[in-house]
Amino acid sequence: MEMHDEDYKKRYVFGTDYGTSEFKYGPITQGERPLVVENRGYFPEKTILSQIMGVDREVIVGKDITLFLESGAELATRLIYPMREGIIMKDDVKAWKVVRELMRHALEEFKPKGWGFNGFYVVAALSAVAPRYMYEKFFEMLESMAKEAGLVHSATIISQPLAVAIAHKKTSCVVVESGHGNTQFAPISRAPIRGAVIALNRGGSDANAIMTEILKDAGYGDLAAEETLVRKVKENLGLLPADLNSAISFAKNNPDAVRTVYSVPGTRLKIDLAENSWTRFLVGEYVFNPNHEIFQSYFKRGMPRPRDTKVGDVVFYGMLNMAEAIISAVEKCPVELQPLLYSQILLSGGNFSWRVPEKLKNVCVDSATKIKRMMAEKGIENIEVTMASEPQYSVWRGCIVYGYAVPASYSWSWEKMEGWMNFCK
Amino acid sequence: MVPRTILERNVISYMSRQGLRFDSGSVEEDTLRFVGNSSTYVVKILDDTDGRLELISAALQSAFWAAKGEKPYILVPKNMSSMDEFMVIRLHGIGLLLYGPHGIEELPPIVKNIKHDEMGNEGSVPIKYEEVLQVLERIERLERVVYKVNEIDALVARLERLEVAYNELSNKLLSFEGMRPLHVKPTVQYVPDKIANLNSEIELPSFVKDNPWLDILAGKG
Repeated sequence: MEMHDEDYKKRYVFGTDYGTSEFKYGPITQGERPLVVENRGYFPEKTILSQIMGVDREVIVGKDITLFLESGAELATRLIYPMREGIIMKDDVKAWKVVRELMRHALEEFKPKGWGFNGFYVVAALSAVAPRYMYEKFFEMLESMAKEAGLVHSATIISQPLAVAIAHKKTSCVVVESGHGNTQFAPISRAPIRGAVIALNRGGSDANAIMTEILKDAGYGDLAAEETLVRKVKENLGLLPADLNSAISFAKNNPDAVRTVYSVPGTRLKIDLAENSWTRFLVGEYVFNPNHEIFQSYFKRGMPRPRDTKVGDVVFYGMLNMAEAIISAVEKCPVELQPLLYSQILLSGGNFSWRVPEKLKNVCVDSATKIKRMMAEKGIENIEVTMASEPQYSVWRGCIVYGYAVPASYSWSWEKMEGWMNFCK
Repeated sequence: MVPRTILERNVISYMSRQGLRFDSGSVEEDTLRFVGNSSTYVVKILDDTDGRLELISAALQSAFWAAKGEKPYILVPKNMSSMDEFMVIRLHGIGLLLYGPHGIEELPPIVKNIKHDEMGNEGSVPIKYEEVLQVLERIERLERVVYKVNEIDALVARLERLEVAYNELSNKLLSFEGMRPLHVKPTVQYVPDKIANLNSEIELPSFVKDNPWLDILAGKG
């Protein structure tokens, strides 16, 4: 019987990754890459028209969403991104409804027809700093799907950094996962090291914030309000300097080398930072270290300073630089593990994708090199920093491996936060 | 077998009693024609030597006469076919004259949409065509249900046989397990690091293959 359960589980492992902007999902049979939809839900207005069109659902998710979007000022309140900050508040009813509908939609899409199917073994990945009530809510949600629709046999929840480490086949490392709203530093040694996770209240959205200020200063204030455009400009113009002071001096002496014009695809818009082109270096630097004095002028002019916040028991630091955060996390681990952890630092998330233009090779670096430099400044040498390949899929892949390998007979333990919650007893 | 001439005489006598006048007869067609009530009546004669094929042929021929505005009848031995088949012929506006040891019995055509004020003129039975069709449709539906029920019965029987076979196999397996000495470990067991043995049907993705986490995670619990 045990063997039968194992075979069944391996066949029906289903991974789900609630990223800050995208929801990645699919069973093991999906192969190398999961399906991806935006992690958002739309609450349509209950109009006669929508009823005629057969929209009796309270929330719509997935590819259909664009068919229902209405224009207007209410869009922002009707279009919900539940995981923007990685954590959903307990009483955020709408966000929970979106999360539930995404899960139901995903499982229904792959539910096999015919006999022999008794629900999926669902592995859901949540932020390393997700509080316990999020786990409880997820299990409640999955249990109701097991009872109502037979979609779930058993479920488990793992942290996103653990999933990243598993996907990259690293059993001892520090995973640095940087999302839209925050960045997590999670030491892992054959399991997540609880109590050693450090979180920053800083992510891709903060790089967008400084890009917005730079655009305003360069005379593009009217464009600065469009978030998607700002993100594109950041990705195309933002640079990560090896050393900010040297990069700024280089830019002042070689203005033409740093200046470039970004043409927004499909439009007549051309963005040229002109004599402010040196500010391109600020975008990358701000993600890694917002403590440089040059950022003070932006804070004084109204750019919000990343603040320390507390969610549940976890403090999200605002101004800690990345090297300090890694060191803080590692130093919470047993001393004998520390060299091993420093030797494998795994960077994951779109926030670490910085271009190094050929003509700026002397002053710009990629994220791995930047971290190495920052760590060396703190006296920690000979470390290995790796960028995750296809980071957008890492968490889902880790979920699949986890579900595939953890025995079906291993019951969920709240103490260890691992195992299977079985809904088919 | 009743001689053809006697059959013809009996038909002429019967139709005369209904107020119709004999008009003509055709040996080639085996028909007799009568007139009356402003209509021409054609009677197709079948005898004991004819079978179902002749009946079908006569029905088709009669339908052709009906289309021309004549009133067709078929004279048939009473035992030639079932009442259901006679009913179908009548539904197409064809009358039947059944003959047997007790003489001729008329089954008039069933006429569609008979109105009350038209009834009786032609001696037709006032049965509503739609109602008959509804009854036939219901019968057809019931036949389908019966067919499904039979299929379900067959499946249930198959399932029962499978359960018996499953129980037999389970018992055999248990008896084998019982025979295994304690110091001999089961030969079939979960071996996490040999992925190829685990499930040959699923093509494992590259990130699963040779993943050192498989051993660590499989050891949990």
